[in-house]
Amino acid sequence: MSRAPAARRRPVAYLYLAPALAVYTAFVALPWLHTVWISLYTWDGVTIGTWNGLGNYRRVLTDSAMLAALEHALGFVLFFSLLPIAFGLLLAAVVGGRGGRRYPLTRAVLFLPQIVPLVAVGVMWRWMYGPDGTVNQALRAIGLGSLTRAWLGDFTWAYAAVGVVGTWVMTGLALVLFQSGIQRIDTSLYEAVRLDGAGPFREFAAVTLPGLRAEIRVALTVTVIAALAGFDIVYVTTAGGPGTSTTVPGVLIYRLAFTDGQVGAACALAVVLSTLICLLVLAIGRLLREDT
Amino acid sequence: MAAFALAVLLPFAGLVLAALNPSGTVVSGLAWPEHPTLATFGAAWSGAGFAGLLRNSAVVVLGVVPLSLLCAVLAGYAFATMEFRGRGALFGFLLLGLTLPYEAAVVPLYYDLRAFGLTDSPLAMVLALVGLFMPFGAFWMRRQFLALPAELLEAAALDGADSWTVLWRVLVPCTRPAITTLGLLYFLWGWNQFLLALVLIQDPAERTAPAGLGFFVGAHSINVPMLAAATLIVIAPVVLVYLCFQRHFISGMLAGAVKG
Amino acid sequence: MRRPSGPALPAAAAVAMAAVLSATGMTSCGVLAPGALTQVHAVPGWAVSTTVPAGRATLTVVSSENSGTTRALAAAFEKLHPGVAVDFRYTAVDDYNKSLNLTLSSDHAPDLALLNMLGTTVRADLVRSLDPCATAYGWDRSYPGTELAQWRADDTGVRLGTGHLWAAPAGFSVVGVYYDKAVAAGLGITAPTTFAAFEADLAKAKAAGKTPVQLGNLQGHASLVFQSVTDSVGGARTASRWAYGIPGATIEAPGGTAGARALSDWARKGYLPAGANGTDLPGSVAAFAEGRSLFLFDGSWDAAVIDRTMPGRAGFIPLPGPSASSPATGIGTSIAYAIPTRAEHPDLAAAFLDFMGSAQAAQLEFDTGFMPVAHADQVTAPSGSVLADVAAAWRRVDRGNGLVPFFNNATPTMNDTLTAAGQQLIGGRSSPAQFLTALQADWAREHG
Repeated sequence: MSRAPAARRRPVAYLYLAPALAVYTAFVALPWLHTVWISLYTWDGVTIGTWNGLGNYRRVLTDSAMLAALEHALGFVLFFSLLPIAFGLLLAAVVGGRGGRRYPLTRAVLFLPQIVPLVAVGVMWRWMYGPDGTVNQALRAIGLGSLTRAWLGDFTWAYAAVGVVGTWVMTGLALVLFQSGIQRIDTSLYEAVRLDGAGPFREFAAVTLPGLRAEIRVALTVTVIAALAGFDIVYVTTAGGPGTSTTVPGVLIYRLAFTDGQVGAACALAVVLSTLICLLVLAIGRLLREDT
Repeated sequence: MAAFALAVLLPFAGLVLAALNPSGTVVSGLAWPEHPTLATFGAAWSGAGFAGLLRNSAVVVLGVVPLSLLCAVLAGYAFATMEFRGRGALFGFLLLGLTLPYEAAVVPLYYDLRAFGLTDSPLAMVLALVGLFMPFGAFWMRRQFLALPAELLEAAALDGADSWTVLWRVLVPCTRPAITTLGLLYFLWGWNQFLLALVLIQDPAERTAPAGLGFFVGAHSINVPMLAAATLIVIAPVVLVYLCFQRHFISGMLAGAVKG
Repeated sequence: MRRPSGPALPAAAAVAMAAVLSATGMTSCGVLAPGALTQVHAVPGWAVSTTVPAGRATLTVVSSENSGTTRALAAAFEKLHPGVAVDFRYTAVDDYNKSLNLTLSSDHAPDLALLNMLGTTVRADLVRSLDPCATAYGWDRSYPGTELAQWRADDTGVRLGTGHLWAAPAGFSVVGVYYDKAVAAGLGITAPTTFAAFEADLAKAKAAGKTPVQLGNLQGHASLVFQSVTDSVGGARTASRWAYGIPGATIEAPGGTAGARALSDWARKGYLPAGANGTDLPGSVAAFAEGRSLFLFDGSWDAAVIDRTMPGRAGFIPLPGPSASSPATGIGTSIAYAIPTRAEHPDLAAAFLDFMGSAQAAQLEFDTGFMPVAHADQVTAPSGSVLADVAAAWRRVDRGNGLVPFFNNATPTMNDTLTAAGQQLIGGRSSPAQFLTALQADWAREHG
């Protein structure tokens, strides 16, 4: 790590660090600590709060609406992380390293959902799922008109419908990531397993998968954070409905803090959420650590 | 791959086709408009005051990008090339922020900034975003500087250059592509930020484009052409920048991610 | 939202965290309880001046009313007072309610703010008591007392219906049942006069392949159906007690039971459109205008739109009660404006509020779909328009003291509760009993 002249301490370093650390401390670290602080109070956001100890945390861990939101967020990991990664690996296995550089336009298109604001993505899909939307149009076109519905208002389907939006956003990232990763795998490794008489499945399991370990770790980390910390898409498409079937912590935190006057509870949920994300990210890093 | 690309394009295509309909038309799925027109864009533009919204967003990113780049370059430089007490601890402190969701800080940010009279101004957004972008930036710049050959630094040090000169004369020019990429990412994240804009800016006159779009959805929920046009207006700037710097974006996001 | 990853965090991170906690945590947050610094303080003894200040001034108005009423009133007010410009800012009601507290406490608080409910605004000192205005302008004489009662509350904003005045009405809206005259004629139906006849008409419409009740419940407007039935079956007095949060009131009574049962039955029998939970109110109004449905529960605020999209084809009645002689009921509230504590031009705002009760304002209010606050007998409606029906319905509801405030405003969280519970009920995810229990639990948290 050290590449400075050995062991010479440079106090000037603190000057270079000062601006970054100052903004970070003032606008990230202290607010986060303040979140922790507020979470110990019962506070409506306007009058003076009263001490509540761990009461808000007890509520987060017992209140059905809070638990549902956390469960939904964890469930979104399937749609935001696992499905895109599965698609990405599948394609990587089939196409191999050939896809990426040769079709720059395709690559650019695949990456597009990563670029546009998620609010816009939400608006787009809200209409696609509407009674007159593209999804129902497609179902009618293939003779499945009986399946049409207002997808986002349907208790059975709304959650999966929102999840699919996540898959749509994240798949491109996984695809492009794995495409570029596979190009860096030493081709001699493939030749070696082929000499052993391995079929395409063993080739994938023995070479491709381990070779993409770093990319999988990255894809998992980025998408898991997006799944758990999601706000924009749900806010725009369903706002948590129907009932509470698509509430996520982000939307609940916003609503509790800014409309329901339960700021303390909102902060407790925020603390639980950020701890959860931090633990999951650490676990992913640990599980898929590169062997060095 | 082509199939996936099509799946990505389909919703966009629907959006463009819908926006070409006259405002107020009932649009059924994906269909070529009966009376194609560009008038809806004009109606959406004036209806939601997009001139103001886009200007506000531009002000925010124009503040965020240079400020965070500067802070990130300075911090990355210190972490990469200097030895000092508490380096590991401070770096770890910054990295903690990488996984922190916006939700975790937005509530006190609102109340604290309001206490200082900073809400309802682009400054609130700029400061909060610069802070939130710092972990990634410092981390990214540190790695870029570490990747440079050590001889470069040693040669400069032998010439007797001080640390400030070394940074601006040697390191920054050598890492210009990486800095561009970081700037582009900051632009993208700053432009797209929704939750902070929603909370920190209540004054409709100061709203950013994505927040304005969020409110527009509530107001024109059944006017599909209008909504589609508004959405296209909001995403146009990012898509344009993306198309121009596509290579930077993808390689930056991938490289940044992988080696992390 | 998406940010690239970092490496596994070094152990030093934990140390850093602990250091920061101890070094800055206490000083930044101190021993102060949250809220102590940002307190908005009530204005004590505001001496209202009834003369409109001379010179240029801009009156800022925030609102979720988009029928043109406030805009029309603003234009007329500007004409009366040439130095005054009104800056009217509209936000859709969902977002408006979500952000109202933030707006009122911001440094750029408006001079007038529409209140859809008192919520926590009074408790937080975000709005001024209008008692001094009422005295200065003599509102007690010009308004019927019951019309101001809706916006009275104690200092905590919990006990409603009596106490200080917190907002002044700019016109009333009343919720009732729109019907499609063409569809009704095709089915051989005339406007029903009892609730049983109403339900029989639903069955008739269903059998003929029409949608009996058009509904958009994405934002919870099934509550209009629920409350209309509750009010008409259980009576306005009982329903009002619950809406005002009077101790001892309960929704688990015959009225509420009938309302919940109706929603659940109608959904099960296919009287409601299948995609109701995915459609919003404007969407259901648009669907109603297409002429394939019989009834629509909606407020007078949509009368102008409905008149425009289906001219001459729509009628409006209060939902009939158990017998033809039962007093007519209607959910009603005023679009009411409050003066924020942090308003820059409170006197000018008070003058605007007073203007809202004038004869000139009455016609403007009525033309844009609202029942005028005062001078109701002086307004005229084109005959054959749905507005004439609405005016007739309003007079019946008014005569029978049948106006009931929105259940949605019974507690700060009731709107969310009604929305989620209503979506579950018509989605077949809960029973009428569970629906009522959820409502009563929310109510009990606030009113004990």
